[in-house]
Amino acid sequence: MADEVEIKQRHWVYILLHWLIVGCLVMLGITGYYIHHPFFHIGSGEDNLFMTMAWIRWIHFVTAAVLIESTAVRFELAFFSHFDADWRDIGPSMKNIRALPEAISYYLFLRKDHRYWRKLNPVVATIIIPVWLIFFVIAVLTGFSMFNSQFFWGLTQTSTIVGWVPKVFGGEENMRTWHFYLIWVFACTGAVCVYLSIIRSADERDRTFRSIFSGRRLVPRKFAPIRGASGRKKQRGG
Amino acid sequence: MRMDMNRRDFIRLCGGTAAMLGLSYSWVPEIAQALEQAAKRPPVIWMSFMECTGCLESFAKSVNPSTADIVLDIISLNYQENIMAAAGTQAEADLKKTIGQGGYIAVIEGAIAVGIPEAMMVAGKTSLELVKELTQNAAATLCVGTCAAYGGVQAMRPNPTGAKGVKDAIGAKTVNVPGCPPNPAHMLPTIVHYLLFNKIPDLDSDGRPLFLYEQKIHDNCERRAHFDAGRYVTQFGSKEETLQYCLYKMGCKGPETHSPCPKTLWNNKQSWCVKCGNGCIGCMEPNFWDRFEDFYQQLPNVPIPGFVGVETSADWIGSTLVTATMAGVGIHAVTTAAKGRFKKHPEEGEGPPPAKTEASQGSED
Ligand code: SF4
Ligand code: SF4
Repeated sequence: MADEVEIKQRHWVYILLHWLIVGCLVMLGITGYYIHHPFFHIGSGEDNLFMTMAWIRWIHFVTAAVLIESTAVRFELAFFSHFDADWRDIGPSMKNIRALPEAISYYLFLRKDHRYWRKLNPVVATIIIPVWLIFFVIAVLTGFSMFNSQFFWGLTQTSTIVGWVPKVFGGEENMRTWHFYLIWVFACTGAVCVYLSIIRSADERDRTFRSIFSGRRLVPRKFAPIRGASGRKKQRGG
Repeated sequence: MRMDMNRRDFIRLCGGTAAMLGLSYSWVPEIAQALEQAAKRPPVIWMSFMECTGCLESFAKSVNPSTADIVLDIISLNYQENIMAAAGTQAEADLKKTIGQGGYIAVIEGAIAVGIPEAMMVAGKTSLELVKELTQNAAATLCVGTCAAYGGVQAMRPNPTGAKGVKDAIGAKTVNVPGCPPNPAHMLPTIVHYLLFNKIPDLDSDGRPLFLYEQKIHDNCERRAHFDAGRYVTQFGSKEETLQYCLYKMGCKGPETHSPCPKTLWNNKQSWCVKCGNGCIGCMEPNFWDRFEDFYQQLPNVPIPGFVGVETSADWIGSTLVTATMAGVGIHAVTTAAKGRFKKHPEEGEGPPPAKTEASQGSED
């Protein structure tokens, strides 16, 4: 193994937010699929008072609210956090855009190694994350438009704020179809993201995959942070 | 005012209209007065273009108030080709005079042929010319039925005549009371609103009066409790259908359709589509013929980009996407293994893991 050291790279807040967002996406996928295609039913008969669909929809709406909140917090921290403003590592920054051809070559087996990636690999950071953000915005707009209710404590109505959205999609049913597609888009891109991180861990033995639970991973010694006399961390290279 | 209905029925009608307009019962005297003075109100010209006359049929089936009451007392219907007493030059002269005087309500039924204007002609004039003439001096333009409002069945793909709704055809501001056919219980409150407030009602983005069309069928449907409980009809003729379970899985478009049908009902408040056992097909929505086909499928089929004329279901596209992704991931994983990337690196050896150095205890936090 090359000269590597184990460091704590992911703050526990980021690990928490990561799993919160993943949990919300999975829950939204399952409940969303149920709303599209109600494939089970709790209880039986006319006297059954358990409102399966009503509860599933309620969970869907609450989970969507949690997802919006946690994504907003993650977004804010990525830019303004005092402990790790990491947008350059997880988004389409110049650093990642420059590293993209090399990363693609690496994953297409055209080269054996690549430069050090601090967090996400450049394929995910420059392609999947922006795609997610675009689809996230679509999901929120179409979702609110279908929600068709008052929000912000009755101060406003979805039809006035997002009333234009169904027009963009050519009608409410098309908008509903697009909202439904998002399940598949998130499922596919999520699978690709997990897969890329697994093969990176398997190939480089750097504990990338494990780090999303523990926060710790192996990095080349020259990229490990050192602490200055003031105690503030300094990043070597990268 | 001469009406066949008695005073009690008339006041009940006014009360129902007040509720439809979202007004309190204290408005009933004003509504009654507005209706009673209707003879002094602007006259109405009703013209038909590319249509099946189903809208007029529906209007003619109005029971409470009866069509005769509406035509003779509530509105002053000066021109309607099917039911007016006058004919020929007399009728044309009346029409010209009313248009010349202005301030009338133009009621339009049927789509306008824009692509091939000659496809729809009356007395040597195209529907496009006629509708422009008709609307130029109108105080308000009321489009009854989905054809006049949005093009309707004539505008369905491939739309050979280039049929359009009135607003799209000439750019006029219209009040749309859509439906295939429209419900007289929606037309009357719209006219009463105009008579009462002397202005057209607030409209949604599709030109429909908000006080009628803001809510969706699904919000007021009598089978909504079954929807919420997850009880659905999955086959016509089944026990679930007898139990009047929700028709969501049978393609009901109630969740996408803005209309008060479950409240106003049809045929003198006798019934409506879902109560009859058929899902809503969304006939009050723009271009519903194209948008909602197949009427018995939950979500419409969607065109596949790049493949003209090929349409498939959202489920098929989704599962194909997932299968393709999984196949791609699988192929890549096999190639990765074949390239030896999963093998242990030569420098890893078999010994114990490297001892943690001081730096290895560090943190980036
Ligand atoms: S029958 Fe249609 S409108 Fe009624 S609850 Fe079911 S889906 Fe909604
Ligand atoms: S229930 Fe649906 S299909 Fe029936 S009249 Fe109303 S909008 Fe049209």
